[in-house]
Amino acid sequence: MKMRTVLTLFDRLITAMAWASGAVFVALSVYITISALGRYFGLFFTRGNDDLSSFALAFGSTFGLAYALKIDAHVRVDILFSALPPGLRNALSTVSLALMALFAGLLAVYGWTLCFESFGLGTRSVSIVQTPIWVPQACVAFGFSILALQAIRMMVELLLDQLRVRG
Amino acid sequence: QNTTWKSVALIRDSKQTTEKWAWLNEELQERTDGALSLDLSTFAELGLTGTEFIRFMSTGLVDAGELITGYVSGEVPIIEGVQMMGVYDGLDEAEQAYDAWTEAVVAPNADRIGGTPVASFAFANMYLWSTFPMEDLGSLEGKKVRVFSTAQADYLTELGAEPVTIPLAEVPQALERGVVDAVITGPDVANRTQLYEVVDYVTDLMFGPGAGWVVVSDRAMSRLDENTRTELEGVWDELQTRGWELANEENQTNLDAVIEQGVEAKVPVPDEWKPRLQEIAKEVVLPAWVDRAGGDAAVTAFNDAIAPIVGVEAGE
Amino acid sequence: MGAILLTIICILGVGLGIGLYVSVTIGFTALGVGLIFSDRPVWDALSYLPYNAVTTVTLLALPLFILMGELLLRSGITERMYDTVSKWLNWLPGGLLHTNIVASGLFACVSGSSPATAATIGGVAIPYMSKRGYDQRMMLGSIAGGGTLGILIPPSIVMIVYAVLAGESIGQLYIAGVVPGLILLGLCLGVILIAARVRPALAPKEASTSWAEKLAGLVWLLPILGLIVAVLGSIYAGVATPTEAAAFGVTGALIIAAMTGRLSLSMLRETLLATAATTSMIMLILVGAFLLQFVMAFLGLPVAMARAIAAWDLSTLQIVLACCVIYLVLGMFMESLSMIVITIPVLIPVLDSAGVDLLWFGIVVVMLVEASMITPPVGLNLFIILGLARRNELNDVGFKDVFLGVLPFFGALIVTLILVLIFPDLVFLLVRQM
Ligand code: NA
Ligand code: NA
Repeated sequence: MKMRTVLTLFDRLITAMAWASGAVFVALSVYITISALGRYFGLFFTRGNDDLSSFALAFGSTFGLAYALKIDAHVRVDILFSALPPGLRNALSTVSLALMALFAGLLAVYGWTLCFESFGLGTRSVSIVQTPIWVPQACVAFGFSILALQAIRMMVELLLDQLRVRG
Repeated sequence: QNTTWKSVALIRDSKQTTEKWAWLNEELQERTDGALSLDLSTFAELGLTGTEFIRFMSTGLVDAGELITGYVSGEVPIIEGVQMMGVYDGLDEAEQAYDAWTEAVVAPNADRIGGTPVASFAFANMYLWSTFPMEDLGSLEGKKVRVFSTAQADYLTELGAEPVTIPLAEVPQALERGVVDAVITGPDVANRTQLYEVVDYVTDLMFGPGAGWVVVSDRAMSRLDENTRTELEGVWDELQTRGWELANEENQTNLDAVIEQGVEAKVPVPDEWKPRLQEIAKEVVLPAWVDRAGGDAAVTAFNDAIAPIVGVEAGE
Repeated sequence: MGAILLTIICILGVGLGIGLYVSVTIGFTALGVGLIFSDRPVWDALSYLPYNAVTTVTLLALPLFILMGELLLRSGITERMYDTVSKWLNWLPGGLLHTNIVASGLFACVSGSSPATAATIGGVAIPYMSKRGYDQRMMLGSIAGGGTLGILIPPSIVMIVYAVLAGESIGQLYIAGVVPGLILLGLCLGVILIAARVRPALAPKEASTSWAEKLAGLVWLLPILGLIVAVLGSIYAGVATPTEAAAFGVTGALIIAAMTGRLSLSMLRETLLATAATTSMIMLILVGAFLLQFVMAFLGLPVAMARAIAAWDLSTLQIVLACCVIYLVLGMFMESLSMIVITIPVLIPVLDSAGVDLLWFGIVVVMLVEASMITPPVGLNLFIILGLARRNELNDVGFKDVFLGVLPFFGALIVTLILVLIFPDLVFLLVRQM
């Protein structure tokens, strides 16, 4: 596969993940509404709403991370930054992305470690339905991993751009 | 060379922290001529839920702390057996059971909990705090009760109630507005959070106490010399005695305080309710725990250590 | 203690100053400080704390409010609501500037987020007003300032987070915010009235609207009123908890979007992507904040700071004033939620032992957080409005203009704060009635 194909597929993956992250919140909202109404009218009672909410939040918080980086939605304070000459600005942007890649990479490595440990021990959530905890942990670790990859990709692209300008 | 043990307790404003841990800190310094002292934080201050405790002990991030029975049920489910609903007739029985459980189950699992259980303790007994009166066990029929463990959910479902899970922070308002009709907690927490503003009745339904162990990591223990370790044996014994004395004290003074505020109490549990509650323990809650905790070993442990104290046996 | 604090401030200052990502800066500050000042494997916290941060159920309301705002904006309801309010208020000197404030106040009744409120109202107001000859600074400032009502008028994410950390009741905090919120709203209108009297050139004279038009427009307030019933009504009727109520808001917004006929696959796609981007941005900042909180607590900083403040032997009022100063200074640099997450656990024991009412202090904190959203250099509302201005081709507008425009409204906020400090009953007035 050509590099360009891989990158296009990766872009699609990032967007699909963000889409799914938003969709999970929509689905959860509708579910919570129905379940609260069911409880209020004494019609039916759902167990495990707390687990479901926390898993949805874990999924929704991390699956949009890479997309947010792509569309430049992660906040930076650019007051001093915007006053700098373009060369220095590009250098700092590269450093920013490198540190984002490092931070996300660390979160991913530790996240996967936690996930494998929970899987090995068969750890379950401490709640009333006791779901296996490695599933949401894998989602979180995956979200961080993709964020790290996207940061690396953007950093490389920025570096190549700068080289091209100079060369 | 001076050593500081990083320690974590569940809550800052419990007497287990303000009195027991403070006492332990002084005692350790005194007995080691200042060589060993404690540096205490709480799970909430660190942004932890309490379930990470085992891991933090094994990596050496913390040296000692409170292993709360309910919090480790996800990782070492066999420990949860001591926190059984419908078996304990008061704190004294629970204390004996915890003592027996330390030898039978917790100490043998030292490698899975990251350290040595040096003393058991309890915060207080847990009761049902409700907006409706508990005339008899049938009063629970169709009532929404906020629970926080599988065992509690099983127990209350059997009594006709509907278990509901909502975050702790939302409990007082949920009771006030009728989102839930009752909640399970101890008189210490109830009094501190002014639960008497939103409930009128407190009832003993044999939930047992909120309890656990003070655990010291193997790493911290192994760094002490032989003399110090022997010297500390006496400290742990007294730590346990103090832990349960404080539990009794917290239970009674806070119960008195909420009654003073107009809450109607049905404590201890009425004798005529016991057979039914014990039956639910035996038929429903215990078997469900045995399933989670891995079968025969759990049955044997429970019947050897706890059954002789409470008179309820786990079946196959 | 001093060395740790200084190191934290230095790393944070440099990182933010050179324009690193806010979340990454906070995260590495935590890890760096842990590495320098502790011989323990502090980095092991990287396994659990990020997971704890993104599974804290009480934070769920945040993405839900963002989602609701995005749905309503794209359903066209926000625009219609704005139009109706303008018909009722455009006879006032200052014209549509008043509409910005009142529309923000109305939207605040369903939204729990200040940036979400500013973004939603700004998204409608800026294109609407920019060609009508309004003073640009005043226009942008009124939207950024009005947006702060989003967290003082219930529902409010900041209140939920505070309630969790301080052990206060969310419902009581909500009620306690109503009176100060209305006072702030009134003062903002007053600011515009005075400004328009002193300098009539700030706002053009709007054509008056007939009563028939005014009354007809009221129909478009119904969807928002319906949402208020769904969100706040469900809480007070005992149907839902405050977190669940945010879900009611989303479901309601979905139904409204379906009724206006704007609900389509492409609209939904845009909504979901926007929600995902904002949510994950904020959650990554919270991951950093959880790490920093852990390291600070692990090094014993909260206890040490609490002891230090206690040793100064300040009076209750002095302690509260000291907190206000700390928050105003921190608020210039920090993101609102992480500021609360980091400071409240430190301050609560001190305040508690000084006998400060934590419910009242919660409202004080919420107002200080509002201030942080509109003070430079880090002010989320200022950034959002600046971004909207750029998108609407107001290219000559700079950060300075937004900041100068919001200054009068910052003044109104400080006056409200002083009123609440002098008359604590403003907070308890409604709480006692419930
Ligand atoms: Na609001
Ligand atoms: Na600010």
